[in-house]
Amino acid sequence: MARTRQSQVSHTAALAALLVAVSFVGSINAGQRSDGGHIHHAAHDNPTSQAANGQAKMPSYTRTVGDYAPPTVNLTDSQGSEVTLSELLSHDQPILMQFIFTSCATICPLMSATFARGQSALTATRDGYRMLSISIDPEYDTPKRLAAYAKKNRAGDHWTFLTGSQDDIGQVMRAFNVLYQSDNKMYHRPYTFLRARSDSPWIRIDGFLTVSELVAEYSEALHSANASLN
Amino acid sequence: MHGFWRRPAPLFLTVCLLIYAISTATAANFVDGDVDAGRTLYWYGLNHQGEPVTATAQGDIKFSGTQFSCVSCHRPSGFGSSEGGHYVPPISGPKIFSPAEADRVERFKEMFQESQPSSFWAQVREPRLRPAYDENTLARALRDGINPKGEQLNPVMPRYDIGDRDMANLVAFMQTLSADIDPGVEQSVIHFATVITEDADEAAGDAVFQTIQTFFKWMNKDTEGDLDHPTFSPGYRSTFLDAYRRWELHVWKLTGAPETWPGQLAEYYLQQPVFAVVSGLTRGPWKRIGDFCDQQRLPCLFPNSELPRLSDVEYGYSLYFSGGLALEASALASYISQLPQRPEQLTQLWHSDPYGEVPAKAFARAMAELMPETVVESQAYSDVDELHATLARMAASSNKGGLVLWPGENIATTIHTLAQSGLRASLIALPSNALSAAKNVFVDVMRERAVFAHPYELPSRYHPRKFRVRAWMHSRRLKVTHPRLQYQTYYALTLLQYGLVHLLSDFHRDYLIELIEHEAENRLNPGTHPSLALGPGQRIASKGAYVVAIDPGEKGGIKALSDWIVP
Repeated sequence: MARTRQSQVSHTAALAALLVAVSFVGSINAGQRSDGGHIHHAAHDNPTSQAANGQAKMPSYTRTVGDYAPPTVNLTDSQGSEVTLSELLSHDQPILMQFIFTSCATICPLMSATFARGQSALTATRDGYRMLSISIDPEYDTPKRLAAYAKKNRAGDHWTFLTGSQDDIGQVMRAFNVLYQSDNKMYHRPYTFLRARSDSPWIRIDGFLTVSELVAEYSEALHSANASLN
Repeated sequence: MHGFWRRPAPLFLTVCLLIYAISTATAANFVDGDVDAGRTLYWYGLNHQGEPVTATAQGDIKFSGTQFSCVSCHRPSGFGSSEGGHYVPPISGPKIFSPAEADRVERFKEMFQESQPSSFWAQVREPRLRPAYDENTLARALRDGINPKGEQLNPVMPRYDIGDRDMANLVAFMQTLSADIDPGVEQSVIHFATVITEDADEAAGDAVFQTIQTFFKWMNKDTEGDLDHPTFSPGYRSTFLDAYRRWELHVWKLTGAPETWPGQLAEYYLQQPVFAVVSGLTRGPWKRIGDFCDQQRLPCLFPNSELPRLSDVEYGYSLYFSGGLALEASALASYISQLPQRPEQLTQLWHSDPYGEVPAKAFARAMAELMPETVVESQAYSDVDELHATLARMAASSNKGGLVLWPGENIATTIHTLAQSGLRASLIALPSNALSAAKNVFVDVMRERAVFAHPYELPSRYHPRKFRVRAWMHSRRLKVTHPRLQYQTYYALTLLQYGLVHLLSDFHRDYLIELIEHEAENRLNPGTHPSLALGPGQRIASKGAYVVAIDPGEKGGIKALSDWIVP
């Protein structure tokens, strides 16, 4: 089971600067970080009465940091090849991971679009990362369906889509603490996980990220990992 | 100041005229749009030239209409969705082009029936009110993300880059979207049908019918009780009295050749349109009935059929329990391909009727993909004598490869013929519908080597709801002669009931299906399948099968040879 340190981890000045840069009004409180850090809280569900500027938005996600122990389960990628998740995650490379399903209507298309648009920007920041989209509806999401979904999202080679047995996927979901209420996938939440290296903690994001926020979180994770080495 | 107010008219009028001139110059004319082109834009994100539109969500996520479009979130009905704490408001024609006003029933729905974001609960005293959209404010919302009150829409709502012509098309389509309630609904009655084909097993058909009839009877008793006591209102029932309807069942019995079924269905529908078709029992492929359901946009919920229509199934109007015999064939192929000692040769025999042909074709397809090196000899037979002769030849030959047999409709005689054949094949693969007959006549080697697809829950597994459903049936003195069929029927009915409760007075069939998609995975599974789940556009609730063998020592007389296989 995951040991989660309920966040108290700070954003860096880089993240704050990026968030401020994309915001229209100076209302983003990215600067409210303290030594212990903070949790961003969702504000995006509410129509704001700001001026007509589509770029203006509040930070729209909650960020926590924790250690999660991925189970040793065999999953299947969109090519039909078997992948051992713990092995895949043991590689010393940045990982960005989401839990999605291909028929999902409301939140997954946007989550996947963030990954899709983020690919080139992340590569420009630092290449060598791997994106994982793990299906939480594995019986429906066959490798063929995942391949079609990958194509629709113009996924590059560094983006892997995984399915598996219901039990194995259940183990992964328990390990990353993303179980949903009533055992009904329709109640799942938009989680994105991110880590810089195999020994780095996971950043767990609950909510929708913009592309620039994804890149900022990625940069921040890399920066923190480097700092911990020095 | 004084001077201005003493002579206001010329200047004031000039300003007004100027504002009017600017507003009329900037407001485009979004009339005479093409509804079909608007539908294509709504569903597929394609503009009138067939090219994907582009949009931006969250401020910087640029995407194309082929990645997702209006229908993804707002759904075919336009009633929106709620998922994981995110709420997508309804945009059907009557809703979007009318003011959003404080409405007790809508508020109840938002507060207690849908998943809402935290911001909703933070402002629960300020419901989502706004003036009606018109063509121009809708265009502004779609392009710039501003609602008629001048507020920014949620940044999750994409800002679209679409031209005036496409905007006019979309407006035209949205004006038709769930504009009128669907047929089959009257002031105090809602009509449903069930389809039973003449040649379906009579006792089984009667068990299904009795189950439906009992359910309707008790539903109507509850409705009557609530309507008779409008001021007695536990659970705020009195708020929803307008949504109550008496359920009326129509049995659509289909006779004669399947080619004549569409005509018969049309005749029944003409006599009395129904809001949905629920359960039923059919012999033969569901395709003709399914095509009718699609043509009429009529939800046909969970028919008991082993031959569902599997092509173009997504977003269709038939919802199924499983992929039927084709699924069984694929699961058996998958099982065989994973055996430690794969048979080098397989003989596939199938009776020349749809119950034989459909799984035989599916099996051949799956084997070609999974075991291309294995020779599969497929052969149809037209009667038991021909099967007998073929089995005798196989028994006499030195070939001890595997046999896959699809008995078609004549199961008992086929299984008896097989049992008598003395065949010593290394493996005998059969569909689940042969299990009951085989338990009675298979002995020794035949019993040891026979494997069956089993797309249902194992008898040894515990499902709490199974006991509740059985108790419901027993307490209403409903004879449970065909448990699986009757439990499946009960599941279909409870999902229909759930859908109706949540529709309130919005009697739109697409919305009903969307509610069922959402709820199918919750705890209504009566234990017939390991899990029953749908998702947006999904139409098959159970996706896999076990492979089992006969074992009289086990509960239900079978033991699982495999895990749940999802081909």
